[in-house]
Amino acid sequence: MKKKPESVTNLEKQLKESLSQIEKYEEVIVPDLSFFERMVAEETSRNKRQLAKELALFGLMAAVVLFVVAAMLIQLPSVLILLQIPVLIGAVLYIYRQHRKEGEWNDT
Amino acid sequence: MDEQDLVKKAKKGDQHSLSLLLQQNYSFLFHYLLKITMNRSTAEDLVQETMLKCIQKIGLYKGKSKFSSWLISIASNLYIDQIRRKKTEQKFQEREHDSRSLKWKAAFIDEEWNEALDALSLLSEDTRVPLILKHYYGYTYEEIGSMLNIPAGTVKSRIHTGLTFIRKELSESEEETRVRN
Repeated sequence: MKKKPESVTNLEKQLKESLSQIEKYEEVIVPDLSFFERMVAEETSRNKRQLAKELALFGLMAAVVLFVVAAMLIQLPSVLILLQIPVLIGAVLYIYRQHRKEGEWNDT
Repeated sequence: MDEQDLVKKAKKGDQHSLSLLLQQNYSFLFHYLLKITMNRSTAEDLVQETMLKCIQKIGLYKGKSKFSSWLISIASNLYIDQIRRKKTEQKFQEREHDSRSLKWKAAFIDEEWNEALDALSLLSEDTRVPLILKHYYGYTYEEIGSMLNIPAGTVKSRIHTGLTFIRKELSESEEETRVRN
């Protein structure tokens, strides 16, 4: 392994010492376990409510889309086939973006 | 109960285990955020935001890295996003204010304020965060890259730029002191 110059090692050491000093400047008070339990319970229930809301919205949208598709299939079948192309591209892009967003929260 | 057991239970929806994990990592997370933000209230707000995000995303934690590293990753991304949302001018003013409040604390407890911290506070968060993760916490370039969603090469070059800047600032400060004396 390549040996680092002494000035680099000194600078790294100085940085480490300086950063550890910061902990002395501000005292940290860790809240009781009950505080964390309350926070977890509240956030979990908020997430559940949010999920239920999103599922309801999704169901409604799906019903509307199905209704429109069924109506077009009966009235204008050629327009419906042409519409499939932008819809397919949009869906692929959306899934890709969602996938990237989720990747941000994965651990290494 | 060790961390792995707590993580397993927390992922299955055990709220008590998740609460314990958050409590055990609170102080570590706060100190990390204090180092990168150099401001107590910003660090406290970000600890809160990080913990809420962790509760939401616990299902995505795979346990490949330590739980504390995962928290650091969430906190760093939240901090970088927060800063990016602010305007450049406002950001500069706040950064000046941030390190000033810590300087007062240092003086209050009769501790000498370190010039290296001054130089560190002048760096952009894009450079400061990887530098702290590498030289204080000892993560590898690859680990930092995964945490911040940037290539390892970018991490390396940012750290190099940061160290060069700090070295320059420190030598200028030494020169000034020598001239004054």
